[in-house]
Amino acid sequence: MPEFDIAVEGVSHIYKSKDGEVVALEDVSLEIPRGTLFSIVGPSGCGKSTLLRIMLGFLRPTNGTIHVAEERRRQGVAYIQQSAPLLPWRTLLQNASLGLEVRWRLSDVRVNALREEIASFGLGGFEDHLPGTLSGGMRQRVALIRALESQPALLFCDEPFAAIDFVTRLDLNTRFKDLCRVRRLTTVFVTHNIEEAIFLSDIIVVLSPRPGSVVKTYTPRLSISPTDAVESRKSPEFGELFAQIWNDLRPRGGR
Amino acid sequence: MKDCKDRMRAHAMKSRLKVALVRIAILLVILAIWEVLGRSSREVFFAIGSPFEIAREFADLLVRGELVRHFSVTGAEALIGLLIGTFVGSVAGLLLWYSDLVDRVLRPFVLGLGTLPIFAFAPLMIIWFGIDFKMKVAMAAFSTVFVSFSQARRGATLVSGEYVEILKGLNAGRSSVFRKIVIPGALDWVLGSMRLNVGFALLGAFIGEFISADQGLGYVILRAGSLYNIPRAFAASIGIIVLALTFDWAARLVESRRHILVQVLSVPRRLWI
Repeated sequence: MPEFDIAVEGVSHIYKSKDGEVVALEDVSLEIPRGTLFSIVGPSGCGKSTLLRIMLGFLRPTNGTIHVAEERRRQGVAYIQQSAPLLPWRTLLQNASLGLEVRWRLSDVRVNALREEIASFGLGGFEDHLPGTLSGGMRQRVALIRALESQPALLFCDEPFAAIDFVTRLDLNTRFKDLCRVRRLTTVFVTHNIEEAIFLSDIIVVLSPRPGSVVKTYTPRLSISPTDAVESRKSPEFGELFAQIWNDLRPRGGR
Repeated sequence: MKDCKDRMRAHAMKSRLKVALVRIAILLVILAIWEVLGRSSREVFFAIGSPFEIAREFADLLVRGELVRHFSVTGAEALIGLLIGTFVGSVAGLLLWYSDLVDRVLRPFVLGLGTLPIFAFAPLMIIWFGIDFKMKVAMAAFSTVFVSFSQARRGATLVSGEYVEILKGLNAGRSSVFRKIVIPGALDWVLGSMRLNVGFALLGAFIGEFISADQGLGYVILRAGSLYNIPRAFAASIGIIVLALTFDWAARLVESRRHILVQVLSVPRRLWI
């Protein structure tokens, strides 16, 4: 019986505005076991980000309940936003260190480790640059470092690799999967990139177009090099799964 | 490339020089007209003095050391008041970020106090702070505190929710958000209010000197006015202009160094660059 870090039960969410109501999520239920990489895949506007924000506690769902394991929350939470915002008045290093700062874990040793981490992500030499001078891909990597270096137990990601070029993205995918596995992170990963979800995830949940509800759940098992974003694509399961999820996501009716 | 940059710099220098020359020319023309008018008749001279006479009074005040004394008294009153008012107002305004409820409750009171002309407080100020230096500082502080308060409050409420979510996403407490996001995020507003306050602080100190004083530029102007010594009143006014420009320059200097302030206020020392 696996332990669940996050359990979502019958969650619906309705955005109210002057122009009327928009139902973003409808009766979503899912359970996320400890230490898994859990992807939420769906078309744009299906409520993926809303679901993530509900799990983070930023939004209160209109209906339904949400449970997050308290001891895991206390161990640490990190969130990588889609837009990867950096504080414009802080340098790259100072942005990357925010996670350590708010948890009072800043020490010379950790700062040095952080510098090495920054260099290993190909950002060496930019430590003292302000975000205004960094490219979108660089900013996203800083947001990634900021989240990972805060040593979280729960990691929430909203399209963290969207602004990164394809080659770097594959490389980061490999590293990301490795880090999440080694640190036994429970990761909730929102993406609309099917291939990324297949490579990274232990579990994939496919959401329908708005209002989002769970269409299907998959547990990818890649037989060839599951730890390498490029090599794993040679697994026969990769193509099959891609076709299945593609089929789930394809707009129906009309065409 | 370098040649191009040099040329651009030379061009910028040239246009700056042009602006300066035009300014000087305008000033000279005004002074010349003034001088001619002032010499045209005794009555006009009595009313507006003349630049030459003002310069003579100015030199006289300067040589006797009076100017420096009064200048520094008014300067000190305004500066201390400015710093107290800006600091207290900003801290209070920023702290309102913590409670939306308190913010909403206080709004009409703040608006009411903020729009009250400072002069209305004058009799009370004498009762509370006496008639000395303290009273002028208090006047300057009161003139500035509400400006900073409302600016800082506004700056704090306008801090990007996206930035706040970075820290909330890291499970940070409200005090961390306040220190690392709200303070640096609203700093531009606070510094902006300080520059606005330069004029208000001088006005406050000045009104204080008008109420009761035996030194300061306001006192000199009041005395000169009551003795119908128009050139001297103008000479002291030049002192106030110089004071205002000096303060404004200093405030701008602080503004241009705000990245240092941000580091000191919101970044752990270990990470300073």
